[in-house]
Amino acid sequence: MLLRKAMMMGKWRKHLCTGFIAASAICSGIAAAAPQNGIGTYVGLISATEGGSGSNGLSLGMDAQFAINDNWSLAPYLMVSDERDSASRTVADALVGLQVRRWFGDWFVGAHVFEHDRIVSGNGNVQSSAYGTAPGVLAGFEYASGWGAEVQTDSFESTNTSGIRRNAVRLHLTYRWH
Amino acid sequence: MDFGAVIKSGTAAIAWIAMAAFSSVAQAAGDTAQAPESASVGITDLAIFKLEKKSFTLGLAYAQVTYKTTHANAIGNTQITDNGAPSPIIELSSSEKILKSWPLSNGRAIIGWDVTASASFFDTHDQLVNSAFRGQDIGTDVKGGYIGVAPALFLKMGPLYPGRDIYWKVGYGIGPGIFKGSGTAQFNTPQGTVINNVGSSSAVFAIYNAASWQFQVDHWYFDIMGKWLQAQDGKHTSLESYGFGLAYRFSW
Repeated sequence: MLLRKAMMMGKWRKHLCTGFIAASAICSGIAAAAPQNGIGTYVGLISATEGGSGSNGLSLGMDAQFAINDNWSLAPYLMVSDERDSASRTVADALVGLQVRRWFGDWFVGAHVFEHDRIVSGNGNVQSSAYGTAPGVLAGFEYASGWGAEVQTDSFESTNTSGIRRNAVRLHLTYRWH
Repeated sequence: MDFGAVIKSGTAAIAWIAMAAFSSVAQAAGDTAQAPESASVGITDLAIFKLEKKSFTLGLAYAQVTYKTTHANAIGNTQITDNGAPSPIIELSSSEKILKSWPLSNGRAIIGWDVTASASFFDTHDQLVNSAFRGQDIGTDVKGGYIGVAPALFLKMGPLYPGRDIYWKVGYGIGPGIFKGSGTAQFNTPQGTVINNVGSSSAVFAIYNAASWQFQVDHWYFDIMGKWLQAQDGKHTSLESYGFGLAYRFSW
């Protein structure tokens, strides 16, 4: 299921993800600290496609990271986006999810599952609401200073309206309070 | 909306990923089970992990409540919402029980269960006509309340920082409820739109579902919640509530 959805992503998105994962693999040999507990914030950009049209905008989020050991951590998170699509409509997507991260020093790769509600509004009216549960993948790094970055993809099919399929990539600057 | 199925699949997925991650911890714990220091770490972790006792929770939520029902000769169902409004959080909870526990770098992660009873009121007065989400005031109105009791399975992790009671908890429960709601709602019929009386002044049995995502700081709770009641009235009547809130837990 994940592979099928990943194949539907745009070419540049795949390159972005591949680059991030490759970079994290290269850097896996770098000795560094274990993942640390703390509240994290996310600020960044999102690009999404749905039904052949695209939307771009801002993505904000926060999480609480719990280190399991030196190699693994769990991070429940909240995330929202504010996007504009090609028809000048506003697209907002709210996510409640859980990330599982595998750490290689300061770098990590991972997966996440989330519950979301995507709302499209235009002309002062909410035109559609699509919600459900979906998976995604992520990669990034966090330094001991608290600063970091991550790229996160998610892909879902609406469970309340058939035919709605959305793929998104988020690129975040992050900061964590240890 | 089949939110129950959505939440069930979401909970299962989260549980599966958590189990996958913790399997490495279990393996590591197995490898070092004979080491005396690992045993002492485990005892310390258990000592600092806080399980909630019996408690009474009061708070304020901002939630969107939507009432749905059908009527004879109606095409589809009717949906009437409050477009989002403040509502009370009133809950009575049992103590938390551990089913399975894993060590974290700081504290524990547990899968456990508890039982929570919840009560609330609603006043939906905006008919969903052209929008999927936002209703219009056309003079219809359904008011009522409910009580639900749900044994819930949850995943809880923490504390986030050493010496601080900061925990994250996600859970889902299902159980019996009592639902009461009545008023008027608009229906689409082959003859056009009509406004009919709906519900009844007497309470009916309902299936109550509750899902929550909580961030707990000491006795304070930030809660993102979803609640669904499916009234067993033969008219496919249901009530859905989604929102977030802040609450204070009194425990004893």
